[in-house]
Amino acid sequence: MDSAALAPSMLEFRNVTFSIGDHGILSNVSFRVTRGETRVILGPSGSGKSTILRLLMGLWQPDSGAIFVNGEDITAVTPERLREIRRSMGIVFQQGALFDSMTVGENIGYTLLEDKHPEEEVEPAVERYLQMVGLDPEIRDRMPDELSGGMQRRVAIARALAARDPNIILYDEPTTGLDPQSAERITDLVLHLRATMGKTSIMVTHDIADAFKVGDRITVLDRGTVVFEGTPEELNMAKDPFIAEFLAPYRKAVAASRRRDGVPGGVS
Amino acid sequence: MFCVAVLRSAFLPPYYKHEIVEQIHFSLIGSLFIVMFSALVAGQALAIQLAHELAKTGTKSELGHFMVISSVRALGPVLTGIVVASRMSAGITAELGTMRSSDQIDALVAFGTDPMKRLVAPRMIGLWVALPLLTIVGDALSVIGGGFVGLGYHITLESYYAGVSRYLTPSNLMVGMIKPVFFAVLITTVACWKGLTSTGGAKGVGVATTESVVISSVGILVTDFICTKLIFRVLGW
Repeated sequence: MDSAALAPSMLEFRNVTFSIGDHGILSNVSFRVTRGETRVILGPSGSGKSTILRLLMGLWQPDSGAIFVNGEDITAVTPERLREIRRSMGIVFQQGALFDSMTVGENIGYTLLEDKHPEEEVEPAVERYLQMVGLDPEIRDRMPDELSGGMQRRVAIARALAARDPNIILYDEPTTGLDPQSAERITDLVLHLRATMGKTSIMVTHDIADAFKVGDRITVLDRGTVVFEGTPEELNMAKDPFIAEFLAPYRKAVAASRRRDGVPGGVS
Repeated sequence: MFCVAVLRSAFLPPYYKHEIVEQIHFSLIGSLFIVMFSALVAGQALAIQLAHELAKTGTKSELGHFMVISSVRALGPVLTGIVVASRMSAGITAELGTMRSSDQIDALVAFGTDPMKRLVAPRMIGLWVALPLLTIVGDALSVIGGGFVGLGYHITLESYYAGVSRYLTPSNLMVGMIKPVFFAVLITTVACWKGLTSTGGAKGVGVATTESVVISSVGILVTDFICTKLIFRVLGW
């Protein structure tokens, strides 16, 4: 039995099925994420990846199955308890979802202000989190729409971190729509946060390169069902036809790049 | 059900004081000029019609009386309600709809905030404060405008305001001031519901905003009819 199976799970999906109307989104999905692990949920568009994060946050309720956060089934708790459980998680939404009527500083300090922390505590905290995500604290008075897409995502990460110092962070397609340089900054930041703060993370993405770079373990979804779960190395060795087809463009790109660089051999 | 949730969120703490003040300002100050202008123009148009008809029967001196009854009890609250509904329901639905489509509502929930408390309740309280005050301003300007129209029909301001003050009774005022409270509930409920449940991106927000304005405006006419019937029954008129 591998070490991941023995470690205490921080997050767990157990036989979760979810649909919207007659349209099935997830079917019997199960996986568990251990403390300090970065799990990547990988799959093509429409495979149900983002739905997993919304179910984890308790924004939606599954049709059947159980979802455990720190050992507690969030599908069976009161709304008040669910609100408390959410406080242990921070989420970075697909397009950042910054509150556009608030400044960058107010966005990052949102939960602190909600919890009635005094201004003199919030100001330095905002500065600290901006520096943590590699942004100039001077931008705290700017509005979100004055920032580039990459900066908005980093502010969203800072806001998620500032949210009561969560021990779980959920990233919903954090690099989608960004230029390669900005996307790399985001994935570097995710790796940095894991290395320095030991946060448990789930990153949803359709970008295979990001998945290989960031994930300790990868869960691959196809039309709402789990078709693979394992390490990036195991994914690279997988023989499943869907995975082979899904990874093909990435493998071709890497092979072409290696040919140009004069490096022989396969893809990893 | 949503209406009950709106009322509960407005009555029960916690209150977002900053948002409430902001919404009162937005509803009251933002709508003030358009309400004043509409009331003045509509009041004068009404006075012309009334003065013309009263002149035929030799009862021009009753203009003040009729202006109070028609403006304070009927036209004023409805006119102010429709003007404010057009402005506020469009604004609320568009804002909440955009927040919904850009995941900002989900972000609020994810960070432990109840959107009903933070977004809906301040708008409800804001309109509860603003709409009756705007109705008073609208009624006053409508009646004042009628006085100036009366001058053109050789009705002195003294006789006009004597008629006004005779019929500006507490019961007439109350009839006019109860309606805006219900209009505020209607506007907030429809606008917030349409905004929070809008789907389909920019097009969906556009459709929701249009529906919100139409339902609020027609709803005000229906609510006015129901309120008038009930008030007349209660007061035994």
